[in-house]
Amino acid sequence: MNQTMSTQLLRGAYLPQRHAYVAEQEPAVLHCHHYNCYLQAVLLDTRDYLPRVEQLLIDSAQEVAYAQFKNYFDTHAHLGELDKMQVIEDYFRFAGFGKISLANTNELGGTIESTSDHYGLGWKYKFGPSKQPVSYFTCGFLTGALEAIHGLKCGMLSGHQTSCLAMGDPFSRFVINISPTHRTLAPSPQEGAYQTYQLHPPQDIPVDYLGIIEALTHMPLEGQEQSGLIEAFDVMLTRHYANYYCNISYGFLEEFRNEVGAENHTIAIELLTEAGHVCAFNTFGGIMQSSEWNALIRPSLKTPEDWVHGMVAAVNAFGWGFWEIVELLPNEKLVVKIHSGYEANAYLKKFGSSNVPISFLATGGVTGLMNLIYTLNLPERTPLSLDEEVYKQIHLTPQMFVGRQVHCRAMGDTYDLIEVVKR
Amino acid sequence: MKVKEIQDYLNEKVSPYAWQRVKLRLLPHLKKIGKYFHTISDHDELKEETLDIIHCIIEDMYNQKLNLKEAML
Repeated sequence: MNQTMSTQLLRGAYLPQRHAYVAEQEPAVLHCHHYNCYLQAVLLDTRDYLPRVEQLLIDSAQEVAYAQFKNYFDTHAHLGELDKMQVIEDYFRFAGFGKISLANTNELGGTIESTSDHYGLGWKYKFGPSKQPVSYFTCGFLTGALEAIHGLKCGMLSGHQTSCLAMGDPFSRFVINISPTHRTLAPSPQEGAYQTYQLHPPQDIPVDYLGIIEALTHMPLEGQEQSGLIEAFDVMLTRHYANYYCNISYGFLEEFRNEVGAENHTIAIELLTEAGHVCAFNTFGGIMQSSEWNALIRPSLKTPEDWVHGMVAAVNAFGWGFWEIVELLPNEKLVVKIHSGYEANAYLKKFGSSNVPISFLATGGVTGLMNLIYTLNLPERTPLSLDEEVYKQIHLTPQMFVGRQVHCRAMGDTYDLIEVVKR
Repeated sequence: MKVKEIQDYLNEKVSPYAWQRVKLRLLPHLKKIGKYFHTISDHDELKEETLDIIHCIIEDMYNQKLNLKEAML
């Protein structure tokens, strides 16, 4: 990378007063390929009767990428077209989405091929080969990014995927053209209705909350130069767009309710929450078995409750807001309070208020933590391969933990509150 | 076969929440047979045609071939 480029990198600083990473007004959150692919799979399960769901996945990525890069290019007006392309290629890699080259594109679109694409590879690793292309996010990202480079309105271009790593193809190919129909895409909620807050770390435990947050937020978690992938904690991580998750999750839920009726939305909410549980199992489990955890955190942990605290401290470095333990009864109950959770931030800005709790990722995540520590007894069993069979063990335990959201900012509360008890 | 038997089998042998995902995909078929998410009960008997569709869904979703009837024996 030349000297000029080194001054033009788009990153996203960690903001301690918000527990958020913000890159040009787009909040970024750490999430793994298990969550990314499972969440997408659930949405795609409905495509036979929600035909818009595939376009929702693409458009949501297009909206956030467009908003982010337009902001960046507006404030860096001196950048030429090639510089702008480099900014985007570099950010795609940095965020762990993979490797791309925009060399064969212009204001009319173009064709982009990638031999390393997070969604294509992540899907294949998690579910095996796919019969259809799966990289909706990448497709939308590229489309929105090209619009931003060339000063087009969001929605003027449209993209589709013609080959996919998940299908066994040697590369994923994306074709972007001028949209045949007039499309107006929604603006990104950008930073959302975020809160500023001061974390109150517990004093009577051997877990250094602030030290853990400091260490994790300074880890060099970025895509490798060759692959553009972040391989860490035994998962493929991304610095993903918080607004992408919210657009697809809540947009899907809205469409689902319209199609099948609000009285039937329980199954969708269960599965959106299960995506959070899958995420916790894999990412929290991977972190709590990582060399970094073993070297820096584990030596001070004496009890399973210390492990719960250690992981909650770590979550505060994910960009997910402020997580604080309100109550922890060993092997019985966990209550976590969340300020500035990214789900509520985006929901409040884009959708307004809700009459049901909407922090699905947080609910599944807190539940997954209790199941890792107590149901699975990870502190005693590590190192443990966290595969599908082990995941089944949790669910086959009659007294596994289940969670519910007791307070929700989108319902008018000042914070989110998640309570997890045995079923 | 009863819904409850299939639900337990899929969630235990295939993947947790497999039944919920199958049900999500099954909706158009359920509507055809006069069922909906909130009206389908554990004791409902599913016919051959529905089981065949479930087989196809599981194969597509998890790359697994199942024979639910044999598996229940």
